Amino acid sequence: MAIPDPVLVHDWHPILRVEDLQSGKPAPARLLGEDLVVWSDAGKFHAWRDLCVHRGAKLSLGKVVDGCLQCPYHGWTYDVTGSCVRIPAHPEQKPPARAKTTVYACREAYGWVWACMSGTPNELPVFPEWDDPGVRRFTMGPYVMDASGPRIIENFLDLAHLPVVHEGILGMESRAEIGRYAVEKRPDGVFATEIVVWQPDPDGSGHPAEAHYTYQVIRPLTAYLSKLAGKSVFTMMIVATPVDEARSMAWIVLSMRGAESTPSQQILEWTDRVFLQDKPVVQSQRPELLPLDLQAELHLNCDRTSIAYRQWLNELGVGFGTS
Amino acid sequence: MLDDPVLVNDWHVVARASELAPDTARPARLLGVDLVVWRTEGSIQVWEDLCVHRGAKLSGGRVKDGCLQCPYHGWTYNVSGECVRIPAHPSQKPPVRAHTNARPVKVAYDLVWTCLGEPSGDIPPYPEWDDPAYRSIPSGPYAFKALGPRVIENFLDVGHFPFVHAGYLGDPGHTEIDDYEAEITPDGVIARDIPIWQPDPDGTGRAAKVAYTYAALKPLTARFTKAQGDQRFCMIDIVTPVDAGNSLAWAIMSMNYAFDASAERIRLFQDVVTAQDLPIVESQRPEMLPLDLQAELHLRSDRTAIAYRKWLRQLGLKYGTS
Repeated sequence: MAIPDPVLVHDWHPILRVEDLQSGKPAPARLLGEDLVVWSDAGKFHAWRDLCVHRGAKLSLGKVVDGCLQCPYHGWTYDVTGSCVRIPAHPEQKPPARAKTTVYACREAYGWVWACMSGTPNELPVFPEWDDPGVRRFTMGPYVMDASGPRIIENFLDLAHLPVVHEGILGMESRAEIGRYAVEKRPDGVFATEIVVWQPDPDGSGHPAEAHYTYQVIRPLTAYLSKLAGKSVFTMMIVATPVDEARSMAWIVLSMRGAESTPSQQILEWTDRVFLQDKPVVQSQRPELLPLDLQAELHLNCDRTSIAYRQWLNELGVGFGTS
Repeated sequence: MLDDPVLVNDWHVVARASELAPDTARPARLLGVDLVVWRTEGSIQVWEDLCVHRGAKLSGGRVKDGCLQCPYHGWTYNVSGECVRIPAHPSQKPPVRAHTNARPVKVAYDLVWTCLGEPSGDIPPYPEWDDPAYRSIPSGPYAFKALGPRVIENFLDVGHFPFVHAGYLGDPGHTEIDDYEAEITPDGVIARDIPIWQPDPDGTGRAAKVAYTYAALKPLTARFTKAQGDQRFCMIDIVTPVDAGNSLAWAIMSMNYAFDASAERIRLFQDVVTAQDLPIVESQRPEMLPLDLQAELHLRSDRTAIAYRKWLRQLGLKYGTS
């Protein structure tokens, strides 16, 4: 099979919430245009190509038996290495060497099952506040979106839409002007700092404040922001899973320091509301695949983070979800 | 129309005759072509489902005085497919070009058959239908979001019984398949006397060791005879290639015993068995059956499938294969 993307194959992508995986039962997932089967046994997670080599049936319709995954069609049974160890129609016959499935790297983090389609995975993205006892932290998603991963990340980095799409929450149309800020493109990512935006409700607490943003794009489909507003520090990491070129799942980890009087439920609802405001707009963008040629769309001063992001994707050679 | 000379010039089922009420029209689809099937007192017609005037579907129209009337402007076609009346100009003789694309029709086994091209052969034989020693019970049609060759190969497959049909056609404690032979003959693929232990071979609920003899009669038609002593349970599976993603399987079961068993119960049994197959067959990838035998893995128990794939290649079948 052709490699779907020379860069993204080496990245980890969340494919399923751990809580959505039932014991003894595999689940289907999809990553970079390929159907995957996800299953767990004895605390270990497995992500394979969702195909039995015998007759091409989906292993995700099968079941976990004695620490192995059994195909639903003829019961071919695969051990954790993906090798067929039993063919029930011929119990005495040693399964042929070709009787194996493609096994991908798989692990758990942040309550999600992650997969990587390469044998040499990059580091898993780190959310620095995850182990910080001084913050409240949450995970949200996946938000399924009919949009390419790069379009979703670019929306996350976008400042000028805040007073329009998120009017009354993250901006106001009467204060829509975006001031100067610093952007730096480095080999390991894009960094935007010194961003100041006035926001009616920067963190779900309902208190207006001048918000100070810092953005970091740490992988092609992973970005992080920290926002200092009043006495609270709000951080968020977004990971976009490239399901198909124009279909993604967005996953969120967020932390809140301060704003102790704001109930957690209120912060979650605030985040949900903001995401649901973005979704129809991002899904409407055409072309669906983010144009890396800077001549293709128009760019202004406020779009310097997007410009740097597109240039960086181009330098890395990200093809899936871009044009 | 899907480009497959073998299937275009073959007969396919588009309706069950007894379910076509007189003076009604209904839509059907074959090889990506929309058809209208309609019945008058004397005959059944199968046409392309299109009025030449503005391209409306005739299947949305009504049968009146032995003619089919287009739902849009009332153009009225006789059983030969000629437009005989244009209501907007009642005194004008309809132009010669105003006729439908009528297809040949045969009725056999209570099924309506048609052909989109020039019929190159006959409909597949199923002698049990007219044999008084047998009672025949139709079932289906079963709609698959899968292509015909995958559906037929599943029909010919014995290794999946203990897993997909546990408690019905197989048992997880009896998974081993004994050796058998499959051969390609001038009449199709035949695999004889495959012994299988089944908890409920026919829907009557009595376990038995049975012997299956399979035959693929046409690229998309297969049958089996399941024998236990003198008892014969036969089934024919006729798959209509609907379009590039869908198939319709028409089944008939015939038994020379258990005449007192409820036909409804036996039909329901087949409904259950097919519902068990459906998600698996629809999950198979690639959707097109690989005729290159290196593409998937084959065991001794897959000899019928191997012969079927080789035979499809010999016939030059394009639809649903890769």
